Amino acid sequence: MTTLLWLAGRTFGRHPIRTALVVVGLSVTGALLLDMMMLAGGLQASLGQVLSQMGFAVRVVPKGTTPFSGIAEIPDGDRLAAAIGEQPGVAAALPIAATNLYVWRQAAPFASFAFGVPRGETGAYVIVDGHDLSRQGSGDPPVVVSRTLARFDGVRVGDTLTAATAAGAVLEGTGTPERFQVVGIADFYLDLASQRSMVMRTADLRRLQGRPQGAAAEILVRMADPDQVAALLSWLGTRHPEVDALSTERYLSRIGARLTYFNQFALILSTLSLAISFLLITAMVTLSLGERLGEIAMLRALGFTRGRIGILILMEGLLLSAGSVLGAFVLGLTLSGYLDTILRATPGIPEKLHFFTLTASALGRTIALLLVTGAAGGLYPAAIASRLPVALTLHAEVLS
Amino acid sequence: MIHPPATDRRAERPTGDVFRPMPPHGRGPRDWPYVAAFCAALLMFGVALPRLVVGAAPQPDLPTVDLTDRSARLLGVQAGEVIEVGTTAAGPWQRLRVAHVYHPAEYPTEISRTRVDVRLHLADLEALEGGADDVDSVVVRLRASADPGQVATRLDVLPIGARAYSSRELAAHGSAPFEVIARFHEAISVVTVVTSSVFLLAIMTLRGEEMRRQVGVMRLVGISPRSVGAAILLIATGIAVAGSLVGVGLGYVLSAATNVAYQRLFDTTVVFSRITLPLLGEAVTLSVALGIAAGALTTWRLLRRRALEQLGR
Repeated sequence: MTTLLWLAGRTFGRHPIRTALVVVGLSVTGALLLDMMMLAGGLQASLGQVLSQMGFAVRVVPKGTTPFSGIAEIPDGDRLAAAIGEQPGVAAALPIAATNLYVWRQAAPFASFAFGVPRGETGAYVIVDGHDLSRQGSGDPPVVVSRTLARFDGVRVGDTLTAATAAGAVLEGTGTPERFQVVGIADFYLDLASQRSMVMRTADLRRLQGRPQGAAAEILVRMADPDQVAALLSWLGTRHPEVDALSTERYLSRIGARLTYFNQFALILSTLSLAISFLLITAMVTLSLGERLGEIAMLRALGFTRGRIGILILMEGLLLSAGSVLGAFVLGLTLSGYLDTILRATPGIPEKLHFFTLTASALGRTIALLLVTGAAGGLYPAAIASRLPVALTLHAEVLS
Repeated sequence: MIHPPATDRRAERPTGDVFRPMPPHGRGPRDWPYVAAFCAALLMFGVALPRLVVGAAPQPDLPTVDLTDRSARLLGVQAGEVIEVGTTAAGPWQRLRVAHVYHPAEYPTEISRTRVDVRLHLADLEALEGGADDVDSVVVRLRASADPGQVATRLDVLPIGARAYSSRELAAHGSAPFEVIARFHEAISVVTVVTSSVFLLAIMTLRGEEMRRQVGVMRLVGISPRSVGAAILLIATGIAVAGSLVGVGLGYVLSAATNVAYQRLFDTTVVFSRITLPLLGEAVTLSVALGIAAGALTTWRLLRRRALEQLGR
């Protein structure tokens, strides 16, 4: 095997520019392949990473929906959350209310997405300045605002905001504006790039809405024992058909069903890049073989079997592929960053999510596919080389 | 068209989410009669999940509903049959009779394999949602002389918790995802052009190496380097033109296949892939130019050696 490797290496060393060109070409196609592997399921993988950071293993939503995807609510959300909290392996069940509010600070009102939580320190967001809802400031009810809201509107901890469900004086009758004191600034995990968010106590939110407490848009469930997730899902499925209980995997698969475009696009471009790699390797190895038929015949005459000659040629294809892996990785990562920036401009994509996510699986599949393509590209010339008639070829070589 | 403010999270979400705007309790002091005069229709889009009622007995007093032809096919119903509609998959369900099945104008943003479009009377949908006097959009038809931008600006300042868009603005807002996808496709096309260029260069280099002896002999028998170079360039141009033609043919086949596959998949007549003359011109020009450039580079590499050197002596 070492001899074969040495021979294959020497073949490429003879024509460094040609070899370099092919390796560069394969690196570019390999980069495209890596990017497409990162794109296929990349958004799901990215969402999975953010969800695992949040630490809630189960999400309970109104049947047929995904979290915050509509106006539907779980009518008895608070009571259901309490019942879930008593199930084995559950550490906490957090009912979340959500609505759109208009917020005034000084000038015109701005729209904000408001969450209602029963108490502070729930882990649904990360406080980056100030403190959570649990600690009351002055007499006004507390509110925690997102970093985007704080940045866009110059809001700081200690400021007072006025919030209402309606934007104008004409509609004030529909929801009396209330004053809130900003007690903290937080990082919300799944906010859009330009989304203003705020979180307040559910009781305050419902009062602002003029609605009774009890309903929830979503229930976040933190598990003390992750092995009990299946049992909880089964219990909810049997006892509460009005809701969908989504484990992180089920949630990702529901989201993934809406991302077929990217998967299909990735499949088409991966196939294309593999086809180009295959053609490049086949062309390179075949033309290179054509130049050294005499050398191959000589090796056969020296005792190399047909099988070993075939392996030598296959190895050349494989080496070309292997040589392009590093370049493909570096180029692929650079390119994916640029492509990700383009795609993240799509409206409605949360700030923390990425379309291109490097996973071990994406990297492994890329390397495996590149190597298999390298070997496949060497098949045709290997077949020619192993069938070469020794005497005739040597004779033709002497005559030329 | 009047919509909830664009900053609203639910309005921005691409998942068919619904925003509930503020109930208009009062009328604007000055502009409301103006709006009412031109208001042609009120549309309410709600999340309504329909299901077929098998063997339902005729009930002439049921509220009626219109379905798009694709929705009717998905549900397996026709005009006159009864479906049940609910705001959540868990119900409660409202029985409705299908009054008409119609073919809508299709928009790329609304194409979906599983989406069912149900058109209810506003009052029926409000009753279903349990709300009162709630609308998501107000479509305003203007007099011929009115300027949509100015009207939208005037409506915008009304304190009704809504945002007014002209149709042009709305189209631009709705096409944002497609603009992003177009930019993504452009970036990918640059990568494929780079890949093809390297591929072409590698192939032409290999071809040049193969022609090395031939070129050496040609030069030794007295053919000028200029003529040899022209011959190589001619070969490169021929390959580039032939490759471009094959590429164009392949492009047409793939484009047709894409349209057939996706039109079947989404049960629509929307065209997904279209090859235009400017696009064709751009692609052919680029590929021929790249082919000739690769040929020129190969020619330069071949001719910079002396004839005997090319023969290995």
